[in-house]
Amino acid sequence: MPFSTRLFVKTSLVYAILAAVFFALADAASFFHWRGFSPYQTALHLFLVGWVLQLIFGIAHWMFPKYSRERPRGYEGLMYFAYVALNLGLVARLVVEPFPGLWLQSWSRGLLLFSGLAQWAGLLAAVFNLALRIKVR
Amino acid sequence: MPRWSAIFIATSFVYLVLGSAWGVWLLATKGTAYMAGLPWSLRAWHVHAMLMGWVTQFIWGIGFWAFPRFRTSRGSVYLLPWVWGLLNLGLLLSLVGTAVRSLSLRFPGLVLVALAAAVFAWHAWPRIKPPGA
Repeated sequence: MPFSTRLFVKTSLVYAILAAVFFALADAASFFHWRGFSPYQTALHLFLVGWVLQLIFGIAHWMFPKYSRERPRGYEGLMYFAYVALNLGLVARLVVEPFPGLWLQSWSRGLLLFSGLAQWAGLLAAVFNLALRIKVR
Repeated sequence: MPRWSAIFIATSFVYLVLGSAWGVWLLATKGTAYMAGLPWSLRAWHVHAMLMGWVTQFIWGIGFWAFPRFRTSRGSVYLLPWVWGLLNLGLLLSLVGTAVRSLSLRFPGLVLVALAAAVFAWHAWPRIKPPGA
């Protein structure tokens, strides 16, 4: 298993735990009527982006057909970029998204936009590299 | 990988890129008056694109490739174009229905997606078997 795959898979396991914690917090927030704390959408994205997407990227990068003899896994640098961008984006949304009271402040609007764009840039990089390796045999 | 796996996986990547671009917009407009006025169906299309167009379609592509075979055959391969067609026509109809705010397009689209899931299950069911069976 290549190093970048190990990074993606181990990080995805951490997000699975975090997502479960956030789902529990979302349940508690709803039950106890905690004002100003709304972590459900964050939990969903920790689950789907942090856990599912990163696990898929890691395993696909390991298992997909080789790109070429010289570059069997395509452009590894793109996968490292994807890893950093996806995780920076996720951490940025973690800071702001659960707190609706912050959403309309200018710094948090900027952070939300950064979060979205970073996650999107990260997945574009990984998709580009993996799409190069889709080969019919 | 087999041709139908390549088609499913490549299509799933298209949904991942488009569905997440729409997600970036939803995240960037969070809490604004614009977002408050956005119909639920427009937010829901992000969910359909990501869960059915991306994750499910990708898994079906990998499943068709990796599930156990019958000697050398992957079973009822003729069903795969139906799965792909129903799923993507369904998602397209639901997208157009969402854009023009027409339930009479959106609902049949989602029914086609459900049919695609049933046809894939029909294909995959016999391939989920013990070694040598």
